[in-house]
Amino acid sequence: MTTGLLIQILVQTLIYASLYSLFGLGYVLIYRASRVFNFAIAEIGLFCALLFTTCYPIFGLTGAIIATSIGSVAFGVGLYLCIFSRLVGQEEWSQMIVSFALSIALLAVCGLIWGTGVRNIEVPGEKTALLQATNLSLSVTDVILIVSGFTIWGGLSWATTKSKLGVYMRATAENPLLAAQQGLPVTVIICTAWGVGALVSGVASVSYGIRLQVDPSMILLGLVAVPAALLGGLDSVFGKLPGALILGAAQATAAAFFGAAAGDVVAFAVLLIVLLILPHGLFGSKQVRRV
Amino acid sequence: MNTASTSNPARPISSGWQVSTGRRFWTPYVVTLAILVAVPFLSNSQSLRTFNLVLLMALTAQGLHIIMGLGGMVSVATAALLGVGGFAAGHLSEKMGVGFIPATLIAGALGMVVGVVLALPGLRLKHLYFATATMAMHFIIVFFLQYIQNDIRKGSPFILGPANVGPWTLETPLQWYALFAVLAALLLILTRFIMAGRLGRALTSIRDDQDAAEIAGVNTVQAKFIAFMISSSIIAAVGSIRAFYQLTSSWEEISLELAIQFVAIVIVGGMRFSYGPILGALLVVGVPDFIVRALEGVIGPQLGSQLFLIKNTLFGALVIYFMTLGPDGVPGALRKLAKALRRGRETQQTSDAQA
Repeated sequence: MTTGLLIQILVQTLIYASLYSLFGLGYVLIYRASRVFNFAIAEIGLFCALLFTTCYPIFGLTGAIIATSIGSVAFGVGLYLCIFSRLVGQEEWSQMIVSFALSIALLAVCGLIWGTGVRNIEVPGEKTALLQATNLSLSVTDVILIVSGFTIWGGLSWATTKSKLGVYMRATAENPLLAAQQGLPVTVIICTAWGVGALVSGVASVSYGIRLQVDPSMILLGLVAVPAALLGGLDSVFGKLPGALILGAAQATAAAFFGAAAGDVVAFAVLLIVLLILPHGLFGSKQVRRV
Repeated sequence: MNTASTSNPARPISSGWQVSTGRRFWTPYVVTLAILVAVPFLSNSQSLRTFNLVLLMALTAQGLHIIMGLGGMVSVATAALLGVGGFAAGHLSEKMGVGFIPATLIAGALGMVVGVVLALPGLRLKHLYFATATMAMHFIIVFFLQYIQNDIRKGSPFILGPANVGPWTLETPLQWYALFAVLAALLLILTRFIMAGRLGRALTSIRDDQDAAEIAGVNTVQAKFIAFMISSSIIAAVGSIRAFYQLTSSWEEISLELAIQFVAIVIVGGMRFSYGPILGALLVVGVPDFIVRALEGVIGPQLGSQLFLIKNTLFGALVIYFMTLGPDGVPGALRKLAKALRRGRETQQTSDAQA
């Protein structure tokens, strides 16, 4: 194995790991606060990326970033208030089915609004290469993506474990009734989680869109992030990046040797193996059940 | 106060899946069969195609219902199993000239083998984790189907021969409808038998509480293996029938969305009811299809590819709406409504009597 190939795999791993940990954070934040495993995260991300393609020509880069952020937070909160708050108290899997149905509907609605074609986001200077070699390039966008992925992961791991909001969030997820009786604004806390969850998946999708392109097949990225989310433990924010790194490494290695399609399959094969050996992931908390 | 009717010990708490006797037990089945028989007399060939689609979806969902409705294990590997059956039938028909019925039987047997593999994560994982494991299975199986079609067959989908049943060949939508309706009725009876028998009781006890079921002496491993084998072989056989109906079989139609549709069908139709898949398919596949066709008739053909998107939007919206009704789908909501009405009437009567 040559050094060039090794560096290529390393760079790919970092890029994929950042994307997966961002999507994974979207899954885990929403799950931690409301016990909904929201499969529609990928479609929420697609919606944000498409919103960005509309906003960018109108408002410019900064304006589009602000508008998309506001839009994605509002979208996440709106989804919770309109749909999932009505399902409180139903079983976990039935909420999961709703998120499945939501993902199909959202994908179709995005297609109706924006069409199903490919849309490009041309930001000046995005392709400026910082590192250039044979079949390897590291552009400014890649570096921003990796840095923001790691920063957001660090910030959220701190916020969910050490800050007051994180404690409130855990209390709400453990026992919403008790949390409400303690005077916690349960709805506000859950809405915050949904808003931030939509926002981080939006960040992942938009940066992926700038790097490559925006089209409906992007949702596969969010789906491959499911293994990453489960690998690190479903309720662990901290576990997202280690999980994403392992998955990204496996995927980048497989893709380098057998092609891109093999990469996705390897991600799911890894998931299957991990689930069979460690059902709660690397950093997930074991749930004790009493009969 | 009128609490006697709810606290009466002679009355089962959840009577949905328990075998009850009497006239009311048969009503849904008689209605379902009557609808199945009445449809061809009331529809033209266009709407018959919609009904064929609905029945194909219902047949597949009926297979899924055995592990999901009875065992409570949500699987999204259904579409992949359809693909396995379709590819098996495609290969048998195209390369070896095997007929419709033997090819379907072989596809069913192959599905049974895949079902054993599917059951493995099901032994250890529950709920969300199991669903995710089946999602992984879906992508792995689709990868292999893609490999077979794109690399081995150089991108060409399977082309299947005519579907011969004895001396007849199934060609018109009506002939296919007859086959689908008979199969739907047979599967309905089979599901009912499984539900009433030992396997069904084992599965429902696993669904309600696996640990308690094990303590009570239910062989959960055996029950799960058998359930997965039956379910998967039904789905793969339907995959073969579906391939013969469409005359082609390709990996492109095997998507996660399709798999999710089956899960939604089973839930909307009511997980505890054996006729659930037929009702669910009619509601979440049939209704959007009819609306879209009506829309096409009103606005015209320029809608084109938008129709598919509108259909998916309607599907998602309908499923979300039905899910907010409660976990027992439409029949559960109807029963709740009926119960509320009855209770209202009883309170009315008692207050009248007191007055």
